[in-house]
Amino acid sequence: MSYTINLDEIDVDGAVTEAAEQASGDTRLSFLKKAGLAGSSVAGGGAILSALAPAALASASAGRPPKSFGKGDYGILNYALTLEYLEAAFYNGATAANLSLSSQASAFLKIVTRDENAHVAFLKKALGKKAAAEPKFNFNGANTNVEKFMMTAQTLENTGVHAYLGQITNLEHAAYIKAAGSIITIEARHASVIGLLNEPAGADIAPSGPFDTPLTAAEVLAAVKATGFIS
Amino acid sequence: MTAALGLQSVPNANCDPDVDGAANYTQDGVSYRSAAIQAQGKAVQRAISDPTEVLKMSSPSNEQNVTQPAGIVERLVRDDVDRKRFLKMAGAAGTTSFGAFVLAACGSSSSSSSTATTAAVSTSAATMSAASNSTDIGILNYALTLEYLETAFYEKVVASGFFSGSVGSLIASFGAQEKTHVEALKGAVEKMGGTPATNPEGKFPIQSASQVGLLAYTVENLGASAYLGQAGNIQSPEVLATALSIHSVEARHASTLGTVVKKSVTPDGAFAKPADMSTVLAAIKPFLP
Repeated sequence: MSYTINLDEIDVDGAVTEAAEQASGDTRLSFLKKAGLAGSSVAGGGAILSALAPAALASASAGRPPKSFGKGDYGILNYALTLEYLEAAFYNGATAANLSLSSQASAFLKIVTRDENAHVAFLKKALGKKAAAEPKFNFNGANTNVEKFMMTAQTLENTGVHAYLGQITNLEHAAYIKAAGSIITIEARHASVIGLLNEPAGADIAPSGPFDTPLTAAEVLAAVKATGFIS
Repeated sequence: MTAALGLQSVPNANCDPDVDGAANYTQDGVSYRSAAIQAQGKAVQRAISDPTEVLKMSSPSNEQNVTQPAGIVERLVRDDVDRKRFLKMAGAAGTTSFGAFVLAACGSSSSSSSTATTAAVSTSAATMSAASNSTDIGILNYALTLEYLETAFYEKVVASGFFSGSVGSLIASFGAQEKTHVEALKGAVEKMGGTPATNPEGKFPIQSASQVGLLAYTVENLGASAYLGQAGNIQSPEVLATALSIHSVEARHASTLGTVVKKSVTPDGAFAKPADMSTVLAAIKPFLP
């Protein structure tokens, strides 16, 4: 390995801290206001892009999170942080619920709980004072019932992959591109494992096929809203 | 594969003669098909019959910087054989652009050094753009070379007959996906005006199911970290999006295989580590002709 990603190295040139000073965005806005989803029904925001080779991509600035998450890279990091908060809270709740999981699912839960909390910590550190506050979550039993937990975990992990992929070309700083890529890897690993546990024949290991697909922020936020997990 | 691996009824089982005669046993409330795993080798068998071991927590990630291997540039200057092989692999147009691409591609270099390198190679904006283009073509050809190797590897694994049933189907589907990556990358290189690298015709030890399973796990992890190692070097958003959309599928393969061979599904911990070109080159050397 040429180097190891760690929290300090990501901010190797102080870009994270420096940019944080300039970042705007009211982190006290409620999630739904940030997402531009308060009140009205949700607009679907574009078709899912086919991921075939270079045609894969939306135009360079497409699909960004709403400006209420913050400017530029900080908006994207706060958007990512919100999704990571959701995942971490979901798994923390599942852990606390002491679900009667198979040993494989139990091992999965340990790994994802560790990793998603680490992602939250990383993004919060990267954002510093500009970090969005953690929303209030209500999982409505989705993480206290084994079957619901297994299916929801699979959806969350795959959504994570699609959401990060959808922002990777919107990021400006190389350090963030590397960090986001590193997190995509992990979300994809989680997604394939839970997919395999749910569908042992393997159809859910790579549900998008040979190329993972990006989702725009509008698509992801609409999907998150539809879960009702964020109050 | 996993847990899954030995798991019963593969709905689309178009294939496995063993499946029908397989005996079931139940563990952890999940029914496993023992016959389906017999051909898989001891390691795999252990993993399946001991599900507590299947998904291992990875060891704590090593947060310390690893001692840097000699930079690829220095190595290539020193080692003529390496340099020729790499030039051939990368299918780079010429030494100048190759130099720019290698420098820009060094995993440890920051984007600023890659920019500086490009600027050093050429001062006019037009040439800089050409250099960026050749940087991406070089990276695409590097990825193409890795995908050629993976494809050839899976073809040999499938031909070995070591895997049947659901595992065999998975192995075959992974191989098919690698082949799709090859075609996509060739198309991308051509679209950018480059010449796709030629297939290096890799050679692989194919000795037993457990050995092959471990090798597959290693190869897929390497593939995922190789793409990640280029994420900060790629110039074009299209190429970046393509590379990362392939990279996460390599990661999916790797973690799935991890469940088969009883290795960590997240060997780097919560943040995947990138691998630079010199690391990857050293790792694939044994498989090159």
